[in-house]
Amino acid sequence: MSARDKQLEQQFIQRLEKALAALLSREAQYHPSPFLLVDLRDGYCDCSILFQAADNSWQRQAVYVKSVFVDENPDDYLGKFALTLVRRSSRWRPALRNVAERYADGDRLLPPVLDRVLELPNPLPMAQEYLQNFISRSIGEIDSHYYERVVLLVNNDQQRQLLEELIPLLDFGRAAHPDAWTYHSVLTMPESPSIAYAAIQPLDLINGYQPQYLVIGDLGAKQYIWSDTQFSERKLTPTSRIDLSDFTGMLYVTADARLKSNGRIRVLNSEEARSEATARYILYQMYRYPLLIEELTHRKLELDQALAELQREIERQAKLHTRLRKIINLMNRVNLFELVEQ
Amino acid sequence: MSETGKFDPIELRRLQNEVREQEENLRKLQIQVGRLKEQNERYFRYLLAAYHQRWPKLRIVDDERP
Repeated sequence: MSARDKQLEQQFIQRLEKALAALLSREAQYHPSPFLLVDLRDGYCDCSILFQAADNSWQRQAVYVKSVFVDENPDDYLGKFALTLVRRSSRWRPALRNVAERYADGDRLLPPVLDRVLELPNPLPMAQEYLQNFISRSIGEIDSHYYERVVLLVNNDQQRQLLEELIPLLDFGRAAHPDAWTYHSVLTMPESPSIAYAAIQPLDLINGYQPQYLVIGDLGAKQYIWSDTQFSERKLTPTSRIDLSDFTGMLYVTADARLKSNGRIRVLNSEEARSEATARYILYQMYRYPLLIEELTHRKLELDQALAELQREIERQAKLHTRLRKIINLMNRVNLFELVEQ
Repeated sequence: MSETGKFDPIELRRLQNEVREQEENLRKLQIQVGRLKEQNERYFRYLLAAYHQRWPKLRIVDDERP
């Protein structure tokens, strides 16, 4: 290694230490005692924060070291160089691991998880478990009336197969609506399926029932919110949360930008993704329009009846309330009369 | 559905909003009914207690067993 390389390596490690410390410090504001996971299985430096949620379940949330290096300073040669080194050379992995362990200090370190994430040869079992949790926690809670309008757009056949195996196991009222789920395999992303899985997070929805796309790439996630005639865009930070139980649009997973050179896939930039999302949303609604209208009309009638019944019940209870009040007043007067007699 | 049966996103949106609004109204009414029922039950219990206090003998006669 030349002196220049050594100097760069040293600078890289310092930079990485600083970045990871900043990440942990930032995440500690949101979650108590977070753990940092560094996932190098695919040769990239994917970092996640493992934290315990309010219901005591462990949740994993992706964070992007890359953004610390490159996004905040696009002209940072050292940052780009460092990332290139991480990708190309396995000798950086022990260094990274050491740094990660050093910052997961004391009893906050979770060696089995860290080891599992680092050493696991096949990402699928973990991804499957993660996806299953994700589905049961998020999509499974969708209101029985609205779930039919959710379409999962997956980005490779493996994911598609996985979803098709998993979803029938989870009872979403599929028996009542056999065609409730529609799949579209729109992109092929042969490398690192964990990117998509890690990026799909169960999050708090900000915008109520607005139909929306979630476009996810390795550079971050963007949310497209439908408002009458067009999609508005909102960039999600790694700490943004969306509750997919309120998700009435579609889930759209795109490939990440570093696969642009791969001729086998089509990568959308944000403008294309927005047009694509709009077009697909409209196409989807057109396709489902008669059924959607029929269902909504039917639901509206059901609600009308339920509302009328409730109104009648309120009137009954109000009359009963008046009578009870009258009797109570009468009894109070009787008591007064007895007092006068005495 | 629109009169022509053609795709009409505004109509779709309107229907979706109406259904959501009705669901919200339903939820509010359910709460209102629940409160009224609870209040009436409380009044009834109060009356029953007052009745037994006012005419204890009647209650004793009712409760007598051979």
